[in-house]
Amino acid sequence: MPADVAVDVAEPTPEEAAAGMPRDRVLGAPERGLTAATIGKSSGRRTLGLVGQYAALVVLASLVLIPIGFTLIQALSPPFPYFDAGKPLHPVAVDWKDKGWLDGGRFSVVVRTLVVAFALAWIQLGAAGGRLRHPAPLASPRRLFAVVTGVVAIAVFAGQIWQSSAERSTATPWWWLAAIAVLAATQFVGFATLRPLWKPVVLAVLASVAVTACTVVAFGAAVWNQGWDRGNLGPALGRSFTITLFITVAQVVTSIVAAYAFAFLRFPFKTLVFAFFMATLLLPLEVTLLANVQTIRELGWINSNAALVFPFAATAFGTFLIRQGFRGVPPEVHDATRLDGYGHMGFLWRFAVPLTRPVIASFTVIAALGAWNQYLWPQAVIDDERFQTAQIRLKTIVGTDITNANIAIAAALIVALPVLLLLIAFSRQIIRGLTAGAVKG
Amino acid sequence: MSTAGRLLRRRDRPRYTAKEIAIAVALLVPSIAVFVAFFYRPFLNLLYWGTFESRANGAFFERVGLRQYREQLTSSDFREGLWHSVQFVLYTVPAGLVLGILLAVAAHRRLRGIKVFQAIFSSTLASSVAVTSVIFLYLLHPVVGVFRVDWLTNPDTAMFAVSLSSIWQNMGLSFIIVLAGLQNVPDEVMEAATLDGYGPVRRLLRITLPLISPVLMFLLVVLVIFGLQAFAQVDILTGGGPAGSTETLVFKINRLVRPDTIGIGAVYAVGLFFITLAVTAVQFVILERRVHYAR
Amino acid sequence: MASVTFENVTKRFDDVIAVDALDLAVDDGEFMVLLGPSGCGKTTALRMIAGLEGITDGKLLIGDQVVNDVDPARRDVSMVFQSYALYPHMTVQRNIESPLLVRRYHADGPDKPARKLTRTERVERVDEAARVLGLEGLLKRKPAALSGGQRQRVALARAFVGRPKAFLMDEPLSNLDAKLRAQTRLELVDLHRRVETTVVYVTHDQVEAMTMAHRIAILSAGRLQQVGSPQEVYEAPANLFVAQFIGTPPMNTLNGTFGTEGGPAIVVGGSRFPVPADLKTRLEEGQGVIVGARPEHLDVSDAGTITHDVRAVEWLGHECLVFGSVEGSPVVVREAGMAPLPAGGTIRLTVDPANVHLFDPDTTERLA
Repeated sequence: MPADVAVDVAEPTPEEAAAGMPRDRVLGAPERGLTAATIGKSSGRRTLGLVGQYAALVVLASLVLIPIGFTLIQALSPPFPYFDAGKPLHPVAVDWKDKGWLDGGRFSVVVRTLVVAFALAWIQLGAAGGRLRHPAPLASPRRLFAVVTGVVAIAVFAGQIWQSSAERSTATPWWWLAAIAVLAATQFVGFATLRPLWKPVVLAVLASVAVTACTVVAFGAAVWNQGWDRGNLGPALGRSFTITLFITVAQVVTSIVAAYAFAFLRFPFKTLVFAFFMATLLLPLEVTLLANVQTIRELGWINSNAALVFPFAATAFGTFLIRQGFRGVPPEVHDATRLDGYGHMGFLWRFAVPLTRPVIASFTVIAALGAWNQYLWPQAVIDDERFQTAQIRLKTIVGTDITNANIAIAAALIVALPVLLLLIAFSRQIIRGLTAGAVKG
Repeated sequence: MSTAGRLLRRRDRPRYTAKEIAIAVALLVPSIAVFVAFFYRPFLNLLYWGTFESRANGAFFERVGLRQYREQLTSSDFREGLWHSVQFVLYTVPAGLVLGILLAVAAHRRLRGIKVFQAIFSSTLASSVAVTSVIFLYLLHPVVGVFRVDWLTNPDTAMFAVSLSSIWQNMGLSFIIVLAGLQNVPDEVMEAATLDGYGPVRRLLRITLPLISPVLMFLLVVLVIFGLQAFAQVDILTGGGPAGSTETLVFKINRLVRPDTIGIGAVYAVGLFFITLAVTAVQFVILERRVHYAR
Repeated sequence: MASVTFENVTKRFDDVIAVDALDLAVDDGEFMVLLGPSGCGKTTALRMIAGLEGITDGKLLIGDQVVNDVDPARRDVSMVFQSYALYPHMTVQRNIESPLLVRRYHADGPDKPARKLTRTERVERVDEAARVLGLEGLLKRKPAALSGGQRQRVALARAFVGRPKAFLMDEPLSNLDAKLRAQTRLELVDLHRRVETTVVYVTHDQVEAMTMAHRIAILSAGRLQQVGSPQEVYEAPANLFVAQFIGTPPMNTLNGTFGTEGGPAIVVGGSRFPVPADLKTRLEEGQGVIVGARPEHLDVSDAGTITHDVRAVEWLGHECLVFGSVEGSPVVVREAGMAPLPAGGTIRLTVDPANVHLFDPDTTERLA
């Protein structure tokens, strides 16, 4: 049975599936990976080995983070070249749009308060060892207190930071420090049950720095609004969202029913039809582009949602993935449902789908990602700016106003945000989906 | 063979019921319809259109036959496009493999806080090609960029600059795939190698890499296919310039979507198809023999 | 060949103590079995000898050398892993040869410095190992083409080829089917007799321990419960845990009190158990004890002082197992042959006082 078919219990992690026989390991031992590199050497060499490993990790991480770092700086700086020969990096000169937490309209205030509350609750929950699905540990008065006071602290101090920053006051760094300190204190209350004692302190400080920085920048900087307005992101994001929804639903449904036919029904020429499905993987959009565009022209679908959705309404990749999942359903379960009088549709929706939920979830997220990130096809069938999706809107923004780097970058980051959230929320599913073809079993 | 055995065999032969076939058809038709309409029919159309030369107003088709295939596939324009795509592949694929291995090997350890690094390494997955291109445009732009270099405007370095953005973006995917491969190598095999006196480098080269070779091959195929299909990066970063030095094959195909060049475009598309097919097939055949499956 | 000594060794994983102050001396050339249930720390202890786990506290010695910080490859030990850990992409020959390629050996004598082996020496050792373990025809195959038993022998050959000071084995038989397991047990004992190297062998199967070991070290929750020869741990278990872990079916244990009325005996309700001779005078009237008697030592006798309510009888041909209870506590009796005992009836049992074990009800330690 493939390791990704859940039968009412938590699915085995890749580590467990690969570990095979149960090991005589005490609970609480660290997870898998190599430690032999540092075992069995003198403590001096061991420390050197550890330092070396961390150094390598930091170097590699900076390869990833440096472009992002510069990008963020650019987003928050005025749109002029700021790397002048001989001069150090400009301090980030941010244009702030609010002076206090309650500025900016009711909707904005509600959203920012909720987002901060959610973020703090998530952090507290994570530290308590709970998951989003089991929020019980959050109900303790200590943690609730931390979340509530945290939100209040942010609301008060963020406004001060914005105001002081806008006035270019020298007190600004102190307001930052105060904000971080007070927020850390409130969060420490929630973490205080952890041992050893340095853990809650470190966690509180890290969480506080992260939340403060993100909140101040995300909700106060004017550049996000500017990027949104100048780039007219609203309709584009809406369109992207709509077609992503339609494409994802269509792909999931057609893949599920097709996979069901291949996995559970008997009909002639099954192998041939399956090959017919799989062969489409050899015909990517890049190859069939011209002919498909011509088809769209003939149907008069240029600039329509139909053109963006229908060509992607079905996919062989999804069919393959879900068929694999269905094959993992024990045949006895199928037989039992037939004895109980369930027909094909009943079995499908009540048993087959729930039992292969992890695979279907993986595929759904991957399909959504793919749909949101599409570039070539929307670009080919949309020639009216009013009907652009978010990705190709970026090209227009860059094209029209290239010197306004911060606006263009802000727009790009806004477009990247939904995917980032999806990645954070569903990282396990995404990873499983991506590696499905790579690792056997 | 026993009577019981014979009876069992007879019962196992699938008997089709009209009802089941009807249901199967109903379930498969939506997918099949999409595939026929947007995959097979277009491809056949392409093959056919490749034999036509068309005029400016698109209304006039002149049948020229297979001559057009021969002409266009050997034209300097096509070969240039192919070469640029190949250049892109040569820049992005080895780098992608090496970086993937480095990142995964570095992060497959029991160290404090390793999960943070794993999250950072996989984070480039969150960026779409368009967003990555915007990021790198403003990093490398000669006037408003962070590093005001002329990489994007110099025909000799433009393709490399475009590749940089994809190398960065592919890091997340490469990391995740190679890490999954590493996690499938049993710890005990690595421990046996340690006991045998293999140092970390030797372990990596002699034990780890051979054992994850199926995963590496999968990644290779994925990266090559991505590489041959490069479009958005070129569109945003250079628009095909300078002097057409970054016009990949797909970029050219996209430009040929106009009604008066659709015949030529079709030829290019068919060419792309067979090239991708050939490359993938060659990869499978050559490397399949050298792949060692861990079992 | 060398001894392996644990001196007050502790291993801690974050908050969990896997091995707690272990004091154990494995003699040179001894076959020592570390026995215990899952999670008792036996594998961790083994891995510490190999150097695959660090030592939090205490000293570990191989021979006379403290090896706490010595590289695993320099400790001159070899290990057979539970999953065999063969290199799937190498032939059997390369697998066996693998430890000889990089490590240095005292090939010229124990006093001469260690060096890399020459090709001739490697080939010679590989051939020897293949011969000893019957792998001659399989040298060119890859592990995937071998059966479970063959793979295990390759793992043994790979361990053997380095002529280590100690063999470490982590449940090597658990992946084999029952018949092969019994056969391989004999082969392993044979091999040890021939090679005379120290073996530290981890298992949760007490049959393996009893049949193969010179001495058994029983662990539970990281602590050493008892170390002794199979005979010692069988006849004189140091505490209740050992008493109930060794022996199939396990020793019967009941709560009772020492009484002197009508002669010294352990009173369990209406039944009376005889008291071992050396304890007769050492117990106090009314003292609570846990009394244990193995199923094979309980005999059915009309003159018995133990009343046993029979619930079921399993006749196995050469013996039968009588399941029932004494004063509500489950008791199993083993009788030779197919004794015609009534299910649902009552029988009387007797036991030799030498085969009665008494344990302190609070500390569960043996009363002696």
